[in-house]
Amino acid sequence: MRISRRALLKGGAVVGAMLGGGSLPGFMRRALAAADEGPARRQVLAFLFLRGAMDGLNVVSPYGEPRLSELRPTLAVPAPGEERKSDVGPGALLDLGVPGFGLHPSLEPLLPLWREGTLAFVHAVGSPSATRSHFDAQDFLELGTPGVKGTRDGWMARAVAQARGDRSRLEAIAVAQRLPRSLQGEAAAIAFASLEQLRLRPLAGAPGGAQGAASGKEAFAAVELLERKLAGRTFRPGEGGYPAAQVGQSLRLLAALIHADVGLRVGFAEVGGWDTHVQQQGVLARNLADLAKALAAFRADLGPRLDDVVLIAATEFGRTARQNGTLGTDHGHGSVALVLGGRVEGGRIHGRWPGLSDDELFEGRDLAVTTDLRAVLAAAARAQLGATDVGRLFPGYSGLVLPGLLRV
Amino acid sequence: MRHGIPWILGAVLAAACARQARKDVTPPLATDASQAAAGAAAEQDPEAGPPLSAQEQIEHALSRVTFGARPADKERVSRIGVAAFLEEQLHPEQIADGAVEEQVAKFPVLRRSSAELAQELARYRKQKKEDKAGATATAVPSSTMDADPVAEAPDPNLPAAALPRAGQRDLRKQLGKAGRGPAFDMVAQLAQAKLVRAIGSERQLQEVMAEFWFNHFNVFAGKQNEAALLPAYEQQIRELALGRFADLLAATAHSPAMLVYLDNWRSSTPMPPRRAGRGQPPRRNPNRGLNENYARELLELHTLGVDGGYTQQDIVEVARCFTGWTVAEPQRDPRYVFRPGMHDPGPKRVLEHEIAAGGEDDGNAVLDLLSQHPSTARFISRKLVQRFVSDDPPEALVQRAADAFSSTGGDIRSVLRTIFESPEMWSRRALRAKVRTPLELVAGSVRALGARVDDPMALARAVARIGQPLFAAQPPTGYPDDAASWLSSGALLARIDFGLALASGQMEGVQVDLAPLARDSMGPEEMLDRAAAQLGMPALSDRTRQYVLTQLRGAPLRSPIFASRALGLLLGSPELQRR
Repeated sequence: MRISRRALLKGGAVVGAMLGGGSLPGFMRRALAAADEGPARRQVLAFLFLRGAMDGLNVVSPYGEPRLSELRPTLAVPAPGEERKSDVGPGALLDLGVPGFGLHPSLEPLLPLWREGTLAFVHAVGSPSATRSHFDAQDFLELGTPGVKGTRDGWMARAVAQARGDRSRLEAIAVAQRLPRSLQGEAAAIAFASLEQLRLRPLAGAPGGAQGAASGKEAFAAVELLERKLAGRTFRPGEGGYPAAQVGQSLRLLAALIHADVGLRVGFAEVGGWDTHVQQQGVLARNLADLAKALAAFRADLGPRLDDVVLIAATEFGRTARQNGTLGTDHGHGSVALVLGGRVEGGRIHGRWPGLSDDELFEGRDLAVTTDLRAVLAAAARAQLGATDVGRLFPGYSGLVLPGLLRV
Repeated sequence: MRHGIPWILGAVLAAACARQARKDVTPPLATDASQAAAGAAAEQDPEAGPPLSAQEQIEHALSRVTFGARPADKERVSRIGVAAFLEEQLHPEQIADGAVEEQVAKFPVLRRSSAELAQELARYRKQKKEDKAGATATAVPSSTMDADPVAEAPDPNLPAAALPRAGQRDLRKQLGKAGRGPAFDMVAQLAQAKLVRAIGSERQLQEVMAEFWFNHFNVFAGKQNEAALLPAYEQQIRELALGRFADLLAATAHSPAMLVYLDNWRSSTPMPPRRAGRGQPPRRNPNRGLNENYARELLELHTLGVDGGYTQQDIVEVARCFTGWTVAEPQRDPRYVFRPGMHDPGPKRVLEHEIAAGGEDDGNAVLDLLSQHPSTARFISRKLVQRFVSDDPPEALVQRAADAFSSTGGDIRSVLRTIFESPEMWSRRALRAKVRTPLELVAGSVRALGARVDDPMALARAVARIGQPLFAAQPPTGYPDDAASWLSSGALLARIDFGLALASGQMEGVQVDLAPLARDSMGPEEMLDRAAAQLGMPALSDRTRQYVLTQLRGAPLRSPIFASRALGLLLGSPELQRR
């Protein structure tokens, strides 16, 4: 027996309606009415959430700050060209051509992107909320309303709702086990950790052993379209230079979805492991190496399609300017964000550098925030989705949309 | 002196009782507690609908304090009464559980000491390191014996026949350092034992609470060598699950698993223990000092809650109090010790209280302060109401539960009684208001079908695939407990797939007896009704009924294929995603 897709779609609608898990009848109608093929070459906004608070000061490191080595006697990475301090530490920072700032040596695969001008950083970026709770800060970022927990939907759900152009059943996808708050809300977003998760096993005794691919709610249509679009695309380990780490596999899937023209407008992926309280040198170096390899492979994979993509990689807050007592760093405030895309004003560090002296540090201990992350996200949403209503995208936000980051 | 003898007698009696079971602080639930509360709920909130019927009360009780009703459970609760059943479950020490203990005894990891497990893990990791160094030296390509788990990922274009083992990758990938070698084996055994208990233990509420508290005091198996420390940690939580909150808090604060996971074992005063040099002030040693990780999560996640009224300075002060709370040797001798040389002896001020205890007692004083704090009472009560009533905890009930928490010195059983006799719990609004977590879905489905489990590993993989790999929650927040988090599309598909696999006998080591459900003489409607009844779904909605019958159209109307298909589809239906 082959499970009927049509009937399952109806059944899926039942599932969605009864569970109330974000299913939208309007979306279902659109999905059913929509042509099988979405229009090709949509503009995509991708967000890679670096969960756990990435230490921005060691990612794009302000080696020109005289106080850095005093704040981080062990953890500061040597300036470009300098000797490494010990056997365990990483080598010297990579020269970015920006006086006083160097790139963590594990990010070397990103240098070509920086040089070709598709990669930019925004430094001292973050949230106006002073919270140092991972949980709250991640929620605030995903809801797009720092300090307000009651917001009903996520910023990416609101962004895609504003998107110009035809709707698609696959316009919002999270490569994640659970639907992130960023996409909870009005958009009929889909979440899956891997294509494998979307498949049903063949039923025992089914004639011909036909594989019954089916779904709950709107995922039904997604699976069918994905199967068709991604047919023939194999995912061999190591293929395309993607690292085996989770971030590599997630970005590979995201790139495949972009290539397949399934109608994607906003894509979400996530990677944890940035909460480096103890002996952070090794952990951070490994995480950054995976991140850099994944982003470089993503860029190579997209090729000319990078012109249609803006990917922002950001974290919920930074870490203490001072190293702590266990060769790590504790929860801080400002950090750094990475922005990758064909229309990015790359090869530049955007934002305003606040300095590291005691009165320049936030609450005397953390890198201050001089650019609200929402200014970055709003710029990307405007460029990629045509979402110009910032007040709707970020309720209560009256700050700027970061100028000069993206060529419109 | 006249009162001397009775006083001594009383003390001896109290000590004797403490050694047995902890005494009840509050009276048992009234016999008609659920009936009265259901009536009161309907009166207070007529819009919610009529009061829960006696049958609904039974189903509701089972859905909240067990991992799902077995076919015989309803009949039994109906016989002894809802309140008596709840009271029984509140006293796990009085419930015989030999059968399940015998089953979990098959997992050696539960019998081995933390030291033994930690040493095994350390030996393995040392060997791996040496192998790697040797391999690099002689330029031999790395072994494929322990291939990267991702490399085992099935090609999406391969037939789905590979799916019965699906979930293995989810499990390994999410486990970090514990994704391979003996650490994976330890976690896999522990996860299987947890499933065996969730499915088969008669002490269901204790298991529900063990899961609740483990998640509350979450420790990730794969950060350092926590995999070796978790069996002891998990069992300790289970034993304290219905006791006093302060005891749980103290146990987790002293546990090597938590000390390693949240780094406190390394946190120390930055000053060296001895004078740096004659006549010179002591100098800071940059490689030694404070780590705020445990202190922050202790306040934010374990006790006060993020809005519980503490400051960044409180976190620093709490971290100072806990300096010296460490582990003898995590790799060889993972046992709590206090090291005075690491302790910051200076004065501290936490939540506007001077902590002047000194030494090890600084930490104990903080734990006392926190476990008695009103914010803790509210935070814990809110989470419990969210677990037992609904995702949106009714404020009035949270307050009453918090009052019970405070007035009983944090007696968990008393807080649960307050919830169990509340109109909010027995309101129609709470009926099937919770979405089952993947663990609840998997364990509950097996319980409902009375399936025989010879090898629970396939079930552990299923839980992982649906999105909750056990012991693999990386952040200290643990897994979420609300519907929105669990109902993503991929997870819904994995839920449907699990139902079909379980009912059609595709779960390795799990067998479902379909004989009572299907006879060739039965028509499709009858078989469907029987399947629904087996799963405890008397009120099958018309839509679900039509959906399943449509799906089954054209299926061979021969048992047991039809029955298994019907069961599988029902297991994936909206009704059974809820509890």
